[in-house]
Amino acid sequence: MGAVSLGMVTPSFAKGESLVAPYKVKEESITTEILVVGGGTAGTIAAIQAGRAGAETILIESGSQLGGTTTTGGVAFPGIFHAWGKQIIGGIGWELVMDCVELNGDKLPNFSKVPDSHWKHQVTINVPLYTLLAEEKCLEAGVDIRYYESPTQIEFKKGKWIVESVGKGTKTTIVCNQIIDCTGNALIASMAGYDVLREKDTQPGSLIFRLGGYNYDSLDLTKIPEKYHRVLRQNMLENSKRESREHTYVPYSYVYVPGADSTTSEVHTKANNEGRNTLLKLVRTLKTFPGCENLKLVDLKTETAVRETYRIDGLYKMNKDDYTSGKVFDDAISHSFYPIDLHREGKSIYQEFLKPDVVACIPLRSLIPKQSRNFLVAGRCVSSDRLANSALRVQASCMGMGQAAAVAAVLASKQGVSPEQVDINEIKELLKKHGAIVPAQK
Amino acid sequence: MIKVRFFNVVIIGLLGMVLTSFLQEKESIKYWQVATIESSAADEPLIVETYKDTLTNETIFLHKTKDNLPLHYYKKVTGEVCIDQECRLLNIVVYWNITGRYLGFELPKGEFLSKYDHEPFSESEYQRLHQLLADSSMPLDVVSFEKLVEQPNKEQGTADAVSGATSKSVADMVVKGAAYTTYKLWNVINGPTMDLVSELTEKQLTPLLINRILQSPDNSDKLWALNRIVSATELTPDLETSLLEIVSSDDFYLAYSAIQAVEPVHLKATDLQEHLYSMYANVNHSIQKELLKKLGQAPELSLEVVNASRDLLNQLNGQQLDDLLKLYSKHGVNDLETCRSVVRILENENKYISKKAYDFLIGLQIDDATIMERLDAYKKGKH
Repeated sequence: MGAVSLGMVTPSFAKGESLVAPYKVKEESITTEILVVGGGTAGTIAAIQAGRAGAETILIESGSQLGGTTTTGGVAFPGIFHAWGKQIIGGIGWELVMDCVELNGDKLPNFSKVPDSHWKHQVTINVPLYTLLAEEKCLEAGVDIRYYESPTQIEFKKGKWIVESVGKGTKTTIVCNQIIDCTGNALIASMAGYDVLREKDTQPGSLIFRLGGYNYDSLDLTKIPEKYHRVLRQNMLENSKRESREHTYVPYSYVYVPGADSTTSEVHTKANNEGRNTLLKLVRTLKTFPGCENLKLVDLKTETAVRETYRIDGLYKMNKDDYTSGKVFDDAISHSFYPIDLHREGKSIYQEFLKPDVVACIPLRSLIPKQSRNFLVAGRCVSSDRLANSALRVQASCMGMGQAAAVAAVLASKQGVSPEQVDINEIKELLKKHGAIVPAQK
Repeated sequence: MIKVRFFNVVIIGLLGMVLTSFLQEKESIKYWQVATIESSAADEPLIVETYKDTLTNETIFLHKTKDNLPLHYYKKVTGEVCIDQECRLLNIVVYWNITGRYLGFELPKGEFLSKYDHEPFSESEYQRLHQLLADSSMPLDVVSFEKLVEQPNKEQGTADAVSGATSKSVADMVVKGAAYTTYKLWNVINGPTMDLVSELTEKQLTPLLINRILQSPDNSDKLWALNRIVSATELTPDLETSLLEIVSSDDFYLAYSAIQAVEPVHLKATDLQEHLYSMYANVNHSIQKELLKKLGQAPELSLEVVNASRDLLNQLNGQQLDDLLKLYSKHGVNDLETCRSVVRILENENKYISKKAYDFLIGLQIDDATIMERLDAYKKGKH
């Protein structure tokens, strides 16, 4: 048979098209007890905790998935949860990590052994699984997740926060009792008019990727400039060879992105552009080296992960000595364990390790901006000096802060007060009830 | 008269490793760290067994007590270390614990180690060597000796003569001036023989021996033993007691590994289930979760555990409740008493918690009008 005209054979299911109403932004006003802004490392945990503590909770996330640096940024080996043989950060963050490890059939590092490199106690996780589990736990806790949204205005009126949030086709007014700013950039704190601080020069961000198509052991490194050795070596998961004795590999490579900032769409786009451009140049260069002719880029994370932007000016500003001495504050609500770890101009890392048996503590006051009402932060924007912040910013610490901030916010919401007015012992008790490890006075 | 000196325990900060006394005789030098099984006067080694290391064709010796308890392995290491074209024989005995962990070294009477400048090792250099040999995490097995040294003099080959130029990046991994000696000994101790002796012990494992290893002061020994408890291992009362002690310790990874060591077949014993459950109240949340997951592997859940856990239901946070209800679901726990306890949770003002109770109950076939009424009320928001 010859050609048959389309109209003659079009099935009935293809005849359903109709004109739709013109694009219109949906505007609505909703209320909640707790609003968490930012579904990253700290915000995800904060939202789950608030929901589990029985509070109505909304979580706004500007991207499409939870986890932030851990997932979207690809730094998929959270830590550090253990120090000197003991668990020092537990709770929801650890639960999420363990669920991930178990579901993926992974092994835990040997936390009993003090490692020769601190990162050997970080736990490698499967990113897609983490993303799924984080979302599942939020939804189970009754959290209303709002992806693709960003707050644009915020106002405190009659004991409530009124937040305008704009997303794809939505403009929502959220009225809430308490806000937890988990943007990592102190964005909401700044929007609310609280002081935020920033260093003149900030640490570089990292765009994370993975290479394939070459065998590091077969390379003649004398024919490859030394500055490229690290990227080739690290990518080949060198340490995984020792997996029978230690679970130790760092499963990534990265290019530095100087001055990377994720505060606005504009600067975050710039950070992504720069990182991707640097990586493309690197791939092209690497392919010119003997043994790397078939080198392939096999994975690239969605966005440049950012180390440092803004910090709040809190009721207490943690300093480096507080951190390295393991000072236990009366209002300490979580531990933190990492070396002072300042990436400098993408060329070197200033590191200072904690002495044996020292574990740092985070006071609740460092999560509360000065002059604020009904407001907390959690994550890397914690009030701290630059060196303390370079250790506080890591994922397990952020998870601990997220859980603590949520407990403080829920109690404050129930009592109709500001978080700093809640009895610290009540906060500690509720944290312990939810599995968090609260620093004890020595 | 033999002069014996005992030195205080040295704590190596970063490694958390304990180096025990070293014993230096006038004519023999011996460095020893904490042993997996300390030999006492009552069980001084009386039996020596020999094994052939098929990779090196060398002989490995095993010291055992008169009760056939393996104490440690050792091997005589000989070879040339060349210094400025002059070579002298390396003659040393190296020891492993029965788990494969480095134990120590001993030089025959009159022997000593020397550096590239012909200087004999000082006491601190022996200590340093002892410390380095104990660090199995150093990457000396994946680095060639040539890479260990800066500007190696190829004409001199693998000689300690070049170790005078020990590069800064590897200075932490070798005794200064004795790079080759360090490199060679480290690779003997941490190479295939380490795995071989571990395998030799593995073939001799009994519940008694596992239990003895679990008493070791060294955590890596404990983990070695925990990782070798298999379905066929009989959990004798002593072994079970040791396991439970580790579960209740504050070392997370040891406690976690002790729970992992229990196999489903061991959980046929309801006593063990009950003992594990009795730990629940006194361990941290992470370990609590692992305990319940482990009980989930039992062929059948002990009624005692069900009865005891029922009393906890109203005290748990939402996630703990979820873990316990999952355990019930896994074992088909649906007795009326349990269901009545769970139904009370529907009244909890925390929606996350009450929903866990609802989800559990709604999945059961319950022939009880009151419970069904409460479930209905919950669904309609009347709770």
